Amino acid sequence: MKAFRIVGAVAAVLAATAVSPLAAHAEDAGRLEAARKEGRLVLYTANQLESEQDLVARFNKKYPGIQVEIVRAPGSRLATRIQTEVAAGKLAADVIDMSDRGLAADFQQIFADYAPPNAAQYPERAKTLPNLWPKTSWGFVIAYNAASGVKPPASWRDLADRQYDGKVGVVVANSGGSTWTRAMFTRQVVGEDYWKALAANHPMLYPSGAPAASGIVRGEVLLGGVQSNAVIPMVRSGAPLKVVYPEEGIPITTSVAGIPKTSPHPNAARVFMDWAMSAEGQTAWVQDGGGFSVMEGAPLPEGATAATRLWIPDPQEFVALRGEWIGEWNRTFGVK
Amino acid sequence: MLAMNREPASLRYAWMLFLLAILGFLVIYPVTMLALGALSEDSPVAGAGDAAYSLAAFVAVLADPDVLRATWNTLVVCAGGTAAAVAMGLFFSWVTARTNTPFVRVIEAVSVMPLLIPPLVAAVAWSILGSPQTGLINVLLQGLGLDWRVNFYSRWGIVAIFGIYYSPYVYMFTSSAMKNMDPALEEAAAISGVSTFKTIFQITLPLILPAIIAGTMLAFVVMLGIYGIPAVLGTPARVSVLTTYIYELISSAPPHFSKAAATSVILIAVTALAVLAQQRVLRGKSFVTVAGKAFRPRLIDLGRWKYLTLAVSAAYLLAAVVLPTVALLMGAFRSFLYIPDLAAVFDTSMYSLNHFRRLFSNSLTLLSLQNTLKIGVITAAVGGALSFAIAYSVYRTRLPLRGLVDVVSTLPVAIPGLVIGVAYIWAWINLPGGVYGSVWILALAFVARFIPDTVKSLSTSLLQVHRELEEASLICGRGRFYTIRRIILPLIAPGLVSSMSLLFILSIRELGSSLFLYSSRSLPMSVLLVNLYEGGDFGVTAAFSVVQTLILVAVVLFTTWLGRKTSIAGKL
Repeated sequence: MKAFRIVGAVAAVLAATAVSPLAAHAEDAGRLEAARKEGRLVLYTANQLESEQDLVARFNKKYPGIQVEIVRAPGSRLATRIQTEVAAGKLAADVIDMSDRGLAADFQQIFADYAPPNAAQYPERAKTLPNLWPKTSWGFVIAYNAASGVKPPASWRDLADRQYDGKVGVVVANSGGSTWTRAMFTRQVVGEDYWKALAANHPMLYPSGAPAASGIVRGEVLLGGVQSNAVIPMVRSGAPLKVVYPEEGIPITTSVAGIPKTSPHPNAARVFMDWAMSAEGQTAWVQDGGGFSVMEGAPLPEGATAATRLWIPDPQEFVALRGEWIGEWNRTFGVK
Repeated sequence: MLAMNREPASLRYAWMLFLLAILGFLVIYPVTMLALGALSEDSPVAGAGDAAYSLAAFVAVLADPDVLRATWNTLVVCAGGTAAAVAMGLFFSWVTARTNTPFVRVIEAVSVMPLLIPPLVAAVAWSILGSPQTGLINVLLQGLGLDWRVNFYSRWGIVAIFGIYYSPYVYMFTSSAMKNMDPALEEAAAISGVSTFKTIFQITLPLILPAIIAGTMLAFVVMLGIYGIPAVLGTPARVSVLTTYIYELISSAPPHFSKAAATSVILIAVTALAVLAQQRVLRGKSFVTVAGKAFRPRLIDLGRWKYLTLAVSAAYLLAAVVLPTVALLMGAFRSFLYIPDLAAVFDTSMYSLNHFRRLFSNSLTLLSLQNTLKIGVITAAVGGALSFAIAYSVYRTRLPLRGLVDVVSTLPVAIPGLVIGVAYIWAWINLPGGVYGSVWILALAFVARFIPDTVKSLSTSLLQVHRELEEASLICGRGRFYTIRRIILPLIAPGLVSSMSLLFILSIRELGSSLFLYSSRSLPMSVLLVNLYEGGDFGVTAAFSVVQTLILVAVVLFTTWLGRKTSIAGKL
């Protein structure tokens, strides 16, 4: 009798512990079923369009029944759009991926409670806003025109070297969140005097990343700092470019992505976010798209080594220093 | 005179108030939202009701030395660009409409082609061509052994490109005016022994003065609002203009809407002044050139000089059309644009269809094409009808409140596309029935945005038809609508067709106002183009530009054919 009761108790305990993962599994299967019924989701993103489309194609290999429609705009425009739609009660997004943490903070209250299963694998610096996650990380590397025979640089400091006078391309610091991160990094890590030194090298200024990358390919300038996901695909398709991971490190901008409370397709949204934040999704972004990931154990883009250091800005400083430092950057580089 | 008083006063006021109501919704309401945005810190939608209104933004803008510098740069490049555009537009109108220069039809067709290239694409093409060391022009010059180099990254570069790309505006107004001119006046001068040169400057040009002024004003005001060309060509040279300054404000984090809106209000004020000036200059003068008699346009025999005019036309076309097209084609077909010297241009291994393959394997490409064509047709139909109603009421009648309608319908021109895009979303996001998020709101925005262009374009045709033609009909007992349908419309048919096709082309190209209003399903081609451009894949961007240009060429060919078929002169 007693043994029976003990066995029964043990069996009950075993059953209870077995039920939770089973329950979770059942919940996942239930969500997937609901997501398939929803059949689609709308993604508002600040990432480059073709990069995001490649990521979605990977997602669809695993989840073919869920169509992802994309609305793409650079950070500020996206923020304006979202805020206006929210105010009118017409937000159409199921997932929002913003490049500028500071802007997203203004409307963080619209996001539903959400955390991916592997949330613990992400650094604290990238999780400063509740329910928002670093789905996409952009990093600045140096690209140079290999066919021109220019001497390859090894560091950010090298760009200010006299031998590159008039040959360097620089994207203006105010072009977006990632260029501001780059400017902040070069001043805080490379040196206080770096901006002046680089400006003295008569760099060519570009209004945004795309013409800068194009300028290096065309030989208009021979080297410069550009986003890795802009140039690595070009290198792969045979452009006369090579990528350098500078000694001082890679300035990384992490996006903030979440699911609005008003999402019309909440299950599909969660399936997508879970995938994008998982090892599989992050690896797809790095290996297909040439981007970076701040997930623990994530791979690095091709050409990077264990010595490559990723630098994430301090979240408070990112907001507090921005206005003043961008003004100084503009004055130093003669942007009127 | 008698005919004008047929309608009762109440009906006349009702009609004008109806027009003003439509214009109010399309123009005044968004501009008011813009003004509210300028006066407060919050966006008018989000912070409505409890915002603190102040003139702080205006004060900040007027006191800012950066704004002063940007304003000065803006006036310089726009004035220079307008002068260049008028010179070129007038020259070509005269060559194609009044002289016996050979290949006139070709010159005609090709001289409006710069309109077909969206400003962003043109700017990119010219940066490929005119970049200081590696621009294709410089590669060519170097290959030819010449020491001379060009640099389009400068104020002069912007002036030249503005002149080239906006001369079609002037051309379209002045050439249809010249074509519809009764040559009797010029013939009288010829008979009296006046030289060709004097005839041009003392008779021909003064008679088409309204067309010249309309084209000049429109070109100037449109240039004020262009972003793409000064952004691409001006940034490397650190030249900033008002539009790039406004763009910086909107794109910074957080966006400075109040300052951007305040700066735009300044642009609007300049436009209003320009329109009032135009009304004053044209008041009380008669520019009638289409009267009751049939006529054939008189061609001037230039003798040997016609080869000179042909050569000048060819040089312009080379610069305005051929070179940028070559640059675009190279970008589209060549794997990469690294061209160290002239020989590299002919390296055939570098050319392929890869960019086109990648373009068409993107599911958004076909979707955007369908959306754009839908939007274009709706805009041309609705916008054409509305603009005709406005143009007729303002220019062919003595209805009350005409001057007000004229000013209001011209206001949208001076507002940069990006800024008016924000104004439109603020104004219309609450429209019922799912309009926001569909192609209809884009069509609405384009109809509103391009009223000035279409009305001005129709006005020149309408101003040339003599009153006696309408009066004859009205005196015989026919009503106003019959008169419009059977007399006015057939007479101005080519002008109407060309205005509607202008509208169609502008809506295909329009970017700024689409950016805030499109949704994933109503994505237009212009937005897809800029998304591809911002993604850095220049080859696909160039390939898509080539596709868009081909579509626009097809549209222009079709409407030119249609215009010729409907022209009364053609039926004589």
